[in-house]
Amino acid sequence: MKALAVRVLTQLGVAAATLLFAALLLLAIGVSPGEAASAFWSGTFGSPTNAGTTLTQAVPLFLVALGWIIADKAGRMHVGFPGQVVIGGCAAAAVGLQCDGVPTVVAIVACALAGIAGGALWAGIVAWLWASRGVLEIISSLLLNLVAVQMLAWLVRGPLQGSLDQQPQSANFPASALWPAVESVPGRTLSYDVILLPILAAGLIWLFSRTVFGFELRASGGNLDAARWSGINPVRAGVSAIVISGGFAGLAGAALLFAGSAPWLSEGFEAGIGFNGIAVALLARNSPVGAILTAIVFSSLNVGGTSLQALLDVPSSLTSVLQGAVIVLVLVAAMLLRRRRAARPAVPVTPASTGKELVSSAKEA
Amino acid sequence: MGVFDIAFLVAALTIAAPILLAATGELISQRAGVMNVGLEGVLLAGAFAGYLTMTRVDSQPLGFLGGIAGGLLLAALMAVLAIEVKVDQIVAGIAIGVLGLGLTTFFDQHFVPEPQTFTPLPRLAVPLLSDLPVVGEVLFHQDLFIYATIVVVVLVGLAMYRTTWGINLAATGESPVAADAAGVSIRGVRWAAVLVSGACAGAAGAYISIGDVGVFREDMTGGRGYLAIAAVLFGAWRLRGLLLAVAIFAVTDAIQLRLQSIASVPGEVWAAAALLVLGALVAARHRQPRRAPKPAELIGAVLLAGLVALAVVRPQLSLPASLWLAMPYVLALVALAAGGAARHRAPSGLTLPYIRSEA
Repeated sequence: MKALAVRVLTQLGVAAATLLFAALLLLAIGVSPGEAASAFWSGTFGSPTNAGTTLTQAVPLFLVALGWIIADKAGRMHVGFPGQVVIGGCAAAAVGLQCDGVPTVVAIVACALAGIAGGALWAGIVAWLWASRGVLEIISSLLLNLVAVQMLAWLVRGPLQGSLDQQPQSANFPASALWPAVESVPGRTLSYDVILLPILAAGLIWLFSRTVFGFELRASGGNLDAARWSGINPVRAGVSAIVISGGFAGLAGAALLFAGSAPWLSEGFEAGIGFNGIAVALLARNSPVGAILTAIVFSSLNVGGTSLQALLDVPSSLTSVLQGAVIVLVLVAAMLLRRRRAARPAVPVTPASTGKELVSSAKEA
Repeated sequence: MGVFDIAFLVAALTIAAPILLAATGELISQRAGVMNVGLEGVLLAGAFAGYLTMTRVDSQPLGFLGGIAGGLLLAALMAVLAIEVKVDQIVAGIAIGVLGLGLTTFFDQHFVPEPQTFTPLPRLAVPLLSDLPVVGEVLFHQDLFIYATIVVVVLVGLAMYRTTWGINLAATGESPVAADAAGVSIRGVRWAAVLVSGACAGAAGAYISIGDVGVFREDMTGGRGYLAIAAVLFGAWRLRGLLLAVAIFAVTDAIQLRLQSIASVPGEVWAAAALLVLGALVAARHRQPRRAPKPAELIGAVLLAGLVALAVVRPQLSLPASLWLAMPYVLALVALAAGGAARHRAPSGLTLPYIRSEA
């Protein structure tokens, strides 16, 4: 109970520090924080339409965050989410464009599966390079992000180009492929895919606490030697973790396209979701339930940032500054907590478990 | 020579210089055991800080100083996180990358709403030497930044391999416990290394914005920071390997710049690619001469045959620009995958925070 209280207090402290930082930034560019706060509120939760947008946009962020949680629990920190979102989105769009006249249920399932497959495939490259060639997953995933961006640029100018005025974007998706939205919300901004938030969070908790596979993932992310001695193949667990996390990111790409405001594939559709999702997971301290909340917070930052720009001419990139600041603050807070705990009984962090496996684990296994 | 003329070599050198400087800085930092994955953000900070300085005081030396200051600022944050607070370096690096992109875009939108363009660095000819054919034009008719980069790289090479400081640096990264016992200040060496890398990346960023094109755009470094990290890894944490990697990346990048404006792919590009594959195959054979060919080598041989055929036939072929734009990154990935053995030469203490009480 006390541990939970400390944890909640820390999260609140991080949130307060972030708000303070935001207020300082706003003052620095000469905008009153009070005015900004009221503009922010009306843009995010002030009306059912805006609240629907905020909730719907939280879904892709949440999916990416789950991807990070799975990979991180298995000790594999890859940052290929932007690329996996893009490739998943491209695959989903390629399928979705063919779905004219297909029953809605079939179309939705096909698009979601295509997205998952695309993301998982792209993550599979990272996993293969790590497992069989020993390439650091963080570097290969960063490079693959850049390749994915070029792939998207080519697709929207080449094979998937379909807008009538020769813009680099695809044709509009057929109505049957779009994900349904709640009719009673004006503007139909609340997509039904928000039910994924509780379902997937519960599923992930179940996976980690109740299944053998989940245990294998956690063991491989903990002490490598212990995992190996108990008959777990950490390389196999690591590869599955990376591929599954790519699948989540790919699904996020599909959600961005089919539940978003623009029903076509364009170059900028990823909109920083890949990196923001990492920040969502870090702020939630890798808790799937916490990630629901933090995903909504971050999506309100995105949505509110747009309304701040429209109303008060605040640069919309304020959001990404805050996201970077959140990661830094979360890191520092986690460290201060650990130090406080370590000050009482000594809980040494052995070098072998902190990151040495980063470079050499794949081949040793 | 078609595509591979003097202008091409000059372009390749201009592309290589900032990557080389940033990668050299990152090499120093990683040899000390601190891996900054957010190098891209540091480059952007340098690029924007240099540009911002130029918009306020129109002076190139001050612009570069501003860029260095910008790089130092983010590097100092990285040092605080990695060395003092001892957080996970990878996550800290992600934060630095996100912050670098966010802060530069934010301040650019606010402080410089109207983009301004400045004249790039002038090219200076070295007397006598610049009159040499080809070599003179390429090597001795460059801007000051490129000369400075060469000087810095030579100095870093000397410092790393010929001085006590270099040995202390390597010891800090390889075995902080031993270095600490020998009286080396781990904190001091790591701070110095991270700050040097920040200054290098800041200057490199300033060159990308005000030195080369004369303007700043959002996310204008376009993955050069990631290429620099890839070069350090591919170069097996040695300066020589790093030079080779940067050369390969820069030449690919220069080729793609060229090819964007040419309708059909010229034959010599295929020939050059064939030479590269041949070189890689020979190098692989050279390392372990007597063994059955691996599948990767067979694929390489097929690729080689295909490229030679393309070079001989010279078909009228045009490929999408995106393919060429992605080429440096794809090549970096292939290089990393092929250089698998180098992984074992990583500093043993890389990404490990040093906590004395646990030694």
